[in-house]
Amino acid sequence: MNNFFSMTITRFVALSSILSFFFLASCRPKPIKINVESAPEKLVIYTQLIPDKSIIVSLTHTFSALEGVTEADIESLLVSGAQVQVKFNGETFDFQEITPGIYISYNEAYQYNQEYELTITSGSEVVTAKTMMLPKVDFTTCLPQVDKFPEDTNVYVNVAFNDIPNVNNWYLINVYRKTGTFNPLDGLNFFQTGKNSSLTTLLVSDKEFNGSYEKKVALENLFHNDSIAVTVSNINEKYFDYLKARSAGGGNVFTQLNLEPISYPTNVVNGYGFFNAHYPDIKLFDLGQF
Amino acid sequence: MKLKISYTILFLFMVSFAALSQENSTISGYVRDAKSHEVVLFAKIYFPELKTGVMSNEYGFFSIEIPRKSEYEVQVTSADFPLLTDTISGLTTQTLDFSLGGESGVNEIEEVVVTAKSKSDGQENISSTDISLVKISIEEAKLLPAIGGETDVLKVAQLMPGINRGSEGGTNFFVRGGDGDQNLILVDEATVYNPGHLFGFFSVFNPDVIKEMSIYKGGFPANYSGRLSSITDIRTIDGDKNKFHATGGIGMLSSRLTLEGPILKDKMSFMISGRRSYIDQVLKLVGQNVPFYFYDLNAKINYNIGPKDRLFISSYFGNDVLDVSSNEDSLSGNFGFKLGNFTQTVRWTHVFNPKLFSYLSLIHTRFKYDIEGNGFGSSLLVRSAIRDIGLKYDFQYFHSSELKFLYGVQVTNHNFKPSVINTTGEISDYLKNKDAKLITTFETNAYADVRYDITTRWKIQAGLSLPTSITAKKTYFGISPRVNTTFIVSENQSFKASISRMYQFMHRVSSSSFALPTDLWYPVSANVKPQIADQAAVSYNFYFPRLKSSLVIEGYYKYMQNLTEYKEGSQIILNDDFEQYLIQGTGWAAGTEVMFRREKGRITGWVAYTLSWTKRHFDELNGGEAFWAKYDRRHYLTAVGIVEINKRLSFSAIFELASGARFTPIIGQYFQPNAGLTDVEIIPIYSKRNAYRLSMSHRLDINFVIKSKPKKNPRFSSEWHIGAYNVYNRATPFRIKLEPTTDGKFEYTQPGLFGFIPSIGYNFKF
Repeated sequence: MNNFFSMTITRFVALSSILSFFFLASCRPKPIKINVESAPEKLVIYTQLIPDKSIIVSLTHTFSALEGVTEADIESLLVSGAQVQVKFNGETFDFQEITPGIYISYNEAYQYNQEYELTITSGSEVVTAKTMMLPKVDFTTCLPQVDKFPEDTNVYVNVAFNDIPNVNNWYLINVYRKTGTFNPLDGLNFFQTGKNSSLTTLLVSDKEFNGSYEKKVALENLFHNDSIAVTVSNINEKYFDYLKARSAGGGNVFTQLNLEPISYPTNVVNGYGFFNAHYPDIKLFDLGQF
Repeated sequence: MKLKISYTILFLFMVSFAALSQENSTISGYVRDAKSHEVVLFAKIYFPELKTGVMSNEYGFFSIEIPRKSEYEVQVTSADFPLLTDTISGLTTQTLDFSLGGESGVNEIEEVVVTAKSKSDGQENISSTDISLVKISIEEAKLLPAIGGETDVLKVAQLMPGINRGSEGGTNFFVRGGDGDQNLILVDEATVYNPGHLFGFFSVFNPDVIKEMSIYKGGFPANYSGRLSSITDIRTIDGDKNKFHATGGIGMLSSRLTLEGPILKDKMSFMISGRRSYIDQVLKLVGQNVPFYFYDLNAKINYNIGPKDRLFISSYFGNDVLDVSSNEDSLSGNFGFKLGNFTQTVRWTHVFNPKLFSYLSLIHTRFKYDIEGNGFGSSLLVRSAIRDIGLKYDFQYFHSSELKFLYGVQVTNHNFKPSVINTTGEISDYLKNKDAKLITTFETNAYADVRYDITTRWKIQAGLSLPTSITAKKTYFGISPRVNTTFIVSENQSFKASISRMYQFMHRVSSSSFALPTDLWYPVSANVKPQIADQAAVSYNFYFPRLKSSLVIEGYYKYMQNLTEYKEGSQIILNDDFEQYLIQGTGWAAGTEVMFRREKGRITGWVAYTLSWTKRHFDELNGGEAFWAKYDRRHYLTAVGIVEINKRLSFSAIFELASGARFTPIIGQYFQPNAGLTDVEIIPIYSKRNAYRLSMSHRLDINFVIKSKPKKNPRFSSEWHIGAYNVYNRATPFRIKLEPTTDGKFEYTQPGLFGFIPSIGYNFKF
């Protein structure tokens, strides 16, 4: 028995030495190339509707996953020279191209509870999309709360609004930050001068609350002299699903690891993107005053 | 009403046996290995004069009724032993034990080995009612090449027709178009929920302790239930009642040692076996820190209480451990996990009378994992567990050599506790503390199965299983008929057919992107219905006596209902509220399997080919269109050969050719603003779900086994294994990757996991 164990130990030591060699000798195989056909190039739209004023459409096209495109290349993807039309109340209106790929239609008749049909023709491509501009929802409460402590300051915003009765609704709440204060503190100054950043986005279905929505939203990465904008929009279900899918596509490392491919919902026929027509209630605050 | 009728039929079926005739003589007993006194499973006891016989059951017990006569010649055969011929009296009912492989006068071992070989499994298969059954020969498996030289029975199973592997090197498998969670793996009747070590690259089954391994892909006997696609039944060795033995091996990744021997000679034996990986220790010697290891322990006690009673107590315990402890100067913190299975089975077998055999089993199984980490002022503990306690009582009534009944009941209490999360510090902003609620369900099953030889050429095996799942808010009842039939055309040729319905009351919660050992099992509920599969299979079986080879051609169709998937964008990991993400749909699978196998002779092995299709349909996925399943491999060919070059040297090789798994690539992209319109993001455009297939893969593995000189030490024997995995270093694609090219663009590539891996190992026995 002793012989056996001494023999085994000797062999174990010999084997351990050999193991290192064998592991080093192991080699990774060369990856095999594969051809995957790219999706045919299609038009992509994004829209912004301003009641009583205008609809803005940005028009780009899709690009191959094999292209090394970054955000810096977005200008090269803008589609110029397209015919963009919107139809509502039985009338059709043309858009003007104000800069390459950006089209605008001014019309004071853009109102809530109207259906809009967008038709875009670019060369041989035609894309269409329909959407309903839903009634605006207003905050019943929207007030920042700043709790100052010796070593830290916590910032919240308390929001509340009433659900629009008798129909199913979906809401989008956004909180934005902008460094510094503005005089006057208005939407033009806040959103159109310099870059603002999004702090929080909440997507809420009216199935999650009863009658009135109330929430204390914790905000991070703010300074005492920052300004914030809080918006709430009544959006349609498909756009809600689209934004939900978009938020699932990002997230933390766990979600990235866990993700299966997501087919993003769209209301664009023969193209991508989304024709949305929501208009937010906006509240602006200078945090220095709280 | 339908259920009441079913239970009534089942009850009448069980109690009617007493009324059956008991004329003639009944010969019953056990078939044993003469050397170790272990029982021999599925040995055939055959009476040439009567042209009839019976098979020993999974406990080595047999019983047969024969006409009264003064003397009969009896032959006892099993694939691993030489033929035993004996003469017995047929005048009275008696208990006889047959010993195979012994040196007694009745077993002329030297002569028999030369002149009369036992029938192979392939030959026995011609007349059996088993269909869609794969038996893994452990001795054969030990000779085959394997990654790192680690013999792995689940990887050998993946070389069989109808059993597709998942990604390369993994133990995950997919049977006849089913999903990965539709395979029930039993070790001594206890469910093993996680059969993989090292993230699923090695199975938890130590080959030295396995006595028998059978995989049912269809034609399920009524005593098996609980999964849709396959049942893997593994029986461990009992331990030598006669002599003390040690078996072990030193491999590249792990070493193992098995001890067995008598506690009370011929009455009580033990077996204990341990295995541990030591790559962490070996790499430590060269200054590398890989703080990961796994270990497992099997133990068994086998006690012959008396001639009619036997007691088995067996247990399996194994863990995978990662322990990353930071150095003092490191800021990385500590991180680790521990996950593993723990099973126990206590079984009592009792012979009520020469015709009625029973086994009562008390089964406990647990799978749990803990993930712990701390650092940067945060700490994390994630814990998840499933625990089953079950009781099973089975009876086998051997009415005659033509008629046998099996019936029994089983009740299992499942306790699920998924994703308990404790966090402190900054991480608690992302992962909230959760004390997952305990979910308890009861699963019961009552079954009856009759095996009847209608004529000498036509056999039938018909059964009914009544599975039930009782959850907090809803109780599900199932009616699960099973019918197999065999028509024997000639001694070497038969046709078989089967139909079966299977129910599954739990499913594995995992992303289909990754199969992780931390995947959770989750039961049916008021909203999540049980999965159901209906399968029909037909086969043609032929045995070539001159070639000592068998050919099986089998076709199947399977329709599956209430399959589970997850909504697009679901976040499953570290989430105990799975139900909101679960969706249910249907699927089908069809295919043809061909297997040519040689089990006896100097050259053995098999060639297996599967041609198959499998699709899924979920209203919420792929725009409501049906799509191919991820492991819809159209062609799957394996060739396995073992050549005994001489008594000391053998060579084996495995060649695998497989269609690639399916995947959903990004085929385009576009820009869109984020929800706050403050930035733009790149949005991927995916193809239709699983619309593309990875490239076909092929791989060759080889292995040499060099045995020690037999005369040097008769008690001690050893062998060296020298082999190589993926000899010509070709990638077996497991995913698709976008790689940058020199011109600033990208190209699609398919990396492989394992390249050429040489291996060496040393096994011994004394």
